[in-house]
Amino acid sequence: MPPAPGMGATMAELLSLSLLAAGVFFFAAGTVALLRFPDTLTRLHALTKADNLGLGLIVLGLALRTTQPAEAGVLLLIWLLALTASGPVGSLLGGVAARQEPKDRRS
Amino acid sequence: MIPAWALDGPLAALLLWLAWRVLRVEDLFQAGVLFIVFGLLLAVVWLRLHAPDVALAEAAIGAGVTGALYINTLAGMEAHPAEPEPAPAGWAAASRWLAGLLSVVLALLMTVLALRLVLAVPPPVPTTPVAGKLTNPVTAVLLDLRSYDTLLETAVLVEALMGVWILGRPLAAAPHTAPEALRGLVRVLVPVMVVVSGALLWNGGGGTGGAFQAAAVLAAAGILARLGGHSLPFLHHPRRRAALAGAGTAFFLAVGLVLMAVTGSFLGYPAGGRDWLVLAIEAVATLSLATVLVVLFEATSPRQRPPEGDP
Amino acid sequence: MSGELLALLLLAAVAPGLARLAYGPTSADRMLVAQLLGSAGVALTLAVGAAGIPEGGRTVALILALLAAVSGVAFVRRHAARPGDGGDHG
Repeated sequence: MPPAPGMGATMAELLSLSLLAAGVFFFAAGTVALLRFPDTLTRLHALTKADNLGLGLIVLGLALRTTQPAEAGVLLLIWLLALTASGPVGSLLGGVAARQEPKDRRS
Repeated sequence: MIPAWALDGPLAALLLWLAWRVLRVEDLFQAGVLFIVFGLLLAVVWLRLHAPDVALAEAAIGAGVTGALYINTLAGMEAHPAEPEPAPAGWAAASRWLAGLLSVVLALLMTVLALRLVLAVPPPVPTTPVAGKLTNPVTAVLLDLRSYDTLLETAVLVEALMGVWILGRPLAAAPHTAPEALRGLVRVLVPVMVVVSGALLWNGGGGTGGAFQAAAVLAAAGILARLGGHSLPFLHHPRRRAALAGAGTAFFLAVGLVLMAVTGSFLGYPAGGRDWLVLAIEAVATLSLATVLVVLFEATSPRQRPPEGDP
Repeated sequence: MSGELLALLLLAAVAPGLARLAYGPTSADRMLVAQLLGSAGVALTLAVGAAGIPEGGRTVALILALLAAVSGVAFVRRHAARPGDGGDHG
């Protein structure tokens, strides 16, 4: 990615970097939740929120690097699709999780 | 910023580990999920190898079709377990010999391929003879230079379907009504999938895309619709199912034969009409392949129990 | 941050989630792993695309985002809807 001259380009690069780093952080947070939370439902809840946010931040960070508005538009569309699917699937999985509660609750 | 192997090494290692786990894990459902994850990572690896069309096919088939197909078949197997047939005497020993022979042959093949890679003897790159709108090299190879192979591939899929039909399982009836959240999801996603499938087909000549990818997305749309409680009435009649499934191969074959009469060689495209012929073949193939995948999905579903009491 | 570095960081961030696949305890937990890897896969393909062929990466990411729901729905409607699946197993 060739750096363009001028202060504006550097600001965009810095912003992009922060957004990408934040995206990775949220994905990691989601993984931690998946491994450490006590219960399927809490894991589901944390995972969907963290993943969608992480993806959105990464999409935003990558969009700042695009040269054409159409490219940024596709990136946004990708995130919107992921978001659209995640809501209903999360709700459906939640229904399954509520029914599947293990009879003996180990920690 | 980082060397290529810093990413590719962990990717390859993770892939190998996943493959090992898929084969070793006891629980079949766990193996299925591992397989889905494996497919996702494989798509990433294809991108790393600068093969976006293959990555696209892997992503579409792995994410959309194979995962659902596996989970569905697993549920079907558990709902209708087959009685184990007693194996004839000597069968176990014979199958072990066969497996051993196959392993040796595959190991030799892999050694040869690895040596070729190490000694840097790349296979010759096929050159597109006629320039046109067909700039996508993958499509050019699949539909022009190696079109015969692709024709046979479509036939293989139809044969797989016939194999399943021979087993005589009836088509699963439409499942019970889907929850509201799912119905809404289907209403939004299926049209988008159909449009994207069409775009992949149309773009296959110039950009990333093609018939297999478009078919996988279309099949995923059909599978999602089925899972969402839609019964896909246009697939109900068995003759129509068979016709749709076989149409791709039949059309491909017909074009080949007609071209043989016109230009003298089987599937030898005339200079002017190549791009449109390829698009036509791909379009019919997309519909057929999607039909095959969706019908395969339905044929391996758990059959509807007759409603005894309250669902 | 190069695309490759981003991809590596993402991989490191989500790969440990695979452990949940072994622990379970319910099948919904295992399906969550598939969902996590699905979202991460979209980000991964975008990152790898940025380091190689951006248009290819975006197309693959689009397909992944579109189709990732299908296996989850198959799980809910087929695996979790099996008769007698009131408890957790698998």
